Amino acid sequence: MKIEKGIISSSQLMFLIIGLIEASTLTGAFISGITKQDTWIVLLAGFMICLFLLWVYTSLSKKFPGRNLIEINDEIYGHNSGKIMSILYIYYFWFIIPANIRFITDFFSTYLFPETDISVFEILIIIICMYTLKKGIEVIARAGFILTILAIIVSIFITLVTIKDMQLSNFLPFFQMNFKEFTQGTNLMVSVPFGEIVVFLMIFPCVNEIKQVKKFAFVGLIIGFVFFLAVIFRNISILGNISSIQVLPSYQVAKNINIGDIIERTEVLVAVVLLFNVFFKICIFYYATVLSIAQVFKLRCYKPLVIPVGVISSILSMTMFTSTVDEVYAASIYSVFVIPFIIIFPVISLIIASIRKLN
Amino acid sequence: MIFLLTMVFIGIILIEVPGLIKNKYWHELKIFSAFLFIAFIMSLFYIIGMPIPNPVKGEEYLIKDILHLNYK
Repeated sequence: MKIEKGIISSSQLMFLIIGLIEASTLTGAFISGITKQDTWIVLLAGFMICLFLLWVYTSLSKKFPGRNLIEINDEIYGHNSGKIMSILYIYYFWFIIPANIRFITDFFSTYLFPETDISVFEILIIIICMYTLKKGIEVIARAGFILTILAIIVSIFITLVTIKDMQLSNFLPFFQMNFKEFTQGTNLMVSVPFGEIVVFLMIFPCVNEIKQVKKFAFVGLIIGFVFFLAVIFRNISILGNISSIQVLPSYQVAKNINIGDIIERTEVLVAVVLLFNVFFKICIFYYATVLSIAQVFKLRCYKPLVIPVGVISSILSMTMFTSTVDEVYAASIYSVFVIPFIIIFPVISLIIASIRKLN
Repeated sequence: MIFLLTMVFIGIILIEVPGLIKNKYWHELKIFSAFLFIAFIMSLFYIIGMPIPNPVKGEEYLIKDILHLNYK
């Protein structure tokens, strides 16, 4: 029986995907600490891999129309193993929420509000996410449209104003990384910005026109990739050598803007856009977690589960990481841990589904 | 502080449970109580100061010590 009764349109799905990749543009900025000025090469490699992965996900969703990931697992692997796979995916979705909450609260308490305790921001963000979730997926999709357009406009504005500072010689020692750094960078790029498209396997059934899901998903991915490439291009060409030691390169770029002494201190715009984007990402993963738990336990409605999951996530986000450095180290471990969920399990599911001709 | 925590959780129960009982969602009430109990225990541990099981440490142990697949 369908738990989710909301319906979103396919262009809203496209903006959901663009919003997710934009959020990961800003939170995944630590990738440039490893591959210093060659981050765009790693980005291209990650994008190629992600094109293949999105084809796997949309084919899997096309074979089982109207069913989300948990039901697909139940059908392919049978009841018991399907439950185990679903619980593993719930753990994966649930892990991302405290990591993102911790990122945004660390950012705000380090740069903007140094004297405030981090629990204030966490409680505020989790309360707003709970309220959004109680209203359903349609609200998230409609809000995503506005937040995405706002992020694109701010990014274009900052790029246009800082063109005079760009020096293309900052790219110059090309291919200075050895193979191990390249694989680490590609792994991080596939796991943090692009691999999280797995979560849309839970949202594809809500779209009202099933035939257009594939086209709009790919268009969304390509637009998100172009946006990401433009941001990385701008950051490396303006900052040069110091771009690898920043927590958030876009923030530092925005500090250089000074138009006639009137328009200054525009880094607050970047902070606000970051807040909106990370809030959006938290909402999407929160929704996927709560919907998966409700489906594994065979409930009729997912709304009662929103508050307990939120409280547990906020407590976990306060205790999981001891500092920002711990987050960056945990990200390198996370990128290896998440390979089965993004690559191995969906590919095996698609192979088994096409061999057994389940339709 | 523990008093404030119990007030917040009683507030959560007062918001959610009347809606569930009115619609007779008994299975949902059971699962909601289980998750809320876990959340209450975790918040209590955080306030008192006892350590909470950390999923990041578990992943690190799995990938670093057992599989040796880490990058550094």
